[in-house]
Amino acid sequence: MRNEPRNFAYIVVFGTIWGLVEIGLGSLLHALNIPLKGSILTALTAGVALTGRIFAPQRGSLLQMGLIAAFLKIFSFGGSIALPLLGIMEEALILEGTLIVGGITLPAYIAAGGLAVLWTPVHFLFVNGILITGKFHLYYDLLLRMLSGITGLGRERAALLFLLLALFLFLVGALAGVLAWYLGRDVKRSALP
Amino acid sequence: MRRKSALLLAVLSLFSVPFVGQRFFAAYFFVSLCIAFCVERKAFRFLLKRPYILALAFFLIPLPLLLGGGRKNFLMGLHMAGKMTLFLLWLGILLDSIRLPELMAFFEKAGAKDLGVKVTVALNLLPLFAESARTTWEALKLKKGKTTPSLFFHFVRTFLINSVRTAENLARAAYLRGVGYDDLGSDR
Repeated sequence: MRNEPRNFAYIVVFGTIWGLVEIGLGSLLHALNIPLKGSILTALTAGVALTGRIFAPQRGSLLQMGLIAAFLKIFSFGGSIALPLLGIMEEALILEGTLIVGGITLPAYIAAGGLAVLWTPVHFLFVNGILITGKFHLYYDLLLRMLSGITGLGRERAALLFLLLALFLFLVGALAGVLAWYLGRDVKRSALP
Repeated sequence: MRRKSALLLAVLSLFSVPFVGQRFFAAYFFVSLCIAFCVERKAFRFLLKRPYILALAFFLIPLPLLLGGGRKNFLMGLHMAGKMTLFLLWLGILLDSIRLPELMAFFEKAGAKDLGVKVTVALNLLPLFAESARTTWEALKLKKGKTTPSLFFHFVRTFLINSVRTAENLARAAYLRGVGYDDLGSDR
């Protein structure tokens, strides 16, 4: 059998799993209202998408998985749908762009996962602070207050707080990338002998 | 023609709303509302929806009070409420003016082949995967007894192996139904 139907099937299957995680866990995390819920969800979905890229290695497959997940997200419960859709497409673009530059290698997987998760606070500040309300400083203060509350450091050390956040998020994303790299290969060996 | 101009106006407005300063906002808001009213009156229905009214009330009353009260903070809340209203209004117009077949055709042209079929198949697979995840989790919990990180890892691995097998079956079905035949050339 040629690769075309296989690419078709893997894009559909991993796009569906991405959508399932977005709908199921996304709604759960939204209801629990835990801090950095967007970053947790992005790490999980980036892991799913990067695992799928091992099975569908053609260029553009991650974008198509993202489109499928975005279409499925339309059917989820909740208030705003347009903003998560924007988030999903941003994530797919970052993952695809990084893998186009770095190829299908472990360092590229680490960078893709790390950058995708690192983007989540930028998305939060951009969408809420610039696109919707135009009051960037309010959301900046909100994020700073949350970081200060979590770490116990004073709000005057904003640079250090944001550096710590960036480092933490990049590590979480990188971990998702590493897991996707090894899990994808392991699943490929087990499922396709 | 009217729908296409609505689409263009919606895109322009969505990009311009964030960059309008407080000084010119009242004039911009009025002109934008008039244009939206001429283009798509139905889009104004969201003004009566409860989430919008709650958000509006939040921007107008608790937010200025939380920020310390006063005329300045009230005007800032009003400005934010106005921006939110315009953003939601033009987003509604944008979504109304997009037709799904045209969007699909655009994605196909951009290189996402068979996207319509892929989305349809994904919609059918969604409940199947949700059920597969549930039964896998329950079976593993019955076997291992308690929830541990390793149980979660086994769950993910088992679920992905099942999904890959489903994908292989789907690939065979897609091949039999002609997916990928276009690229075989005239000697197919």
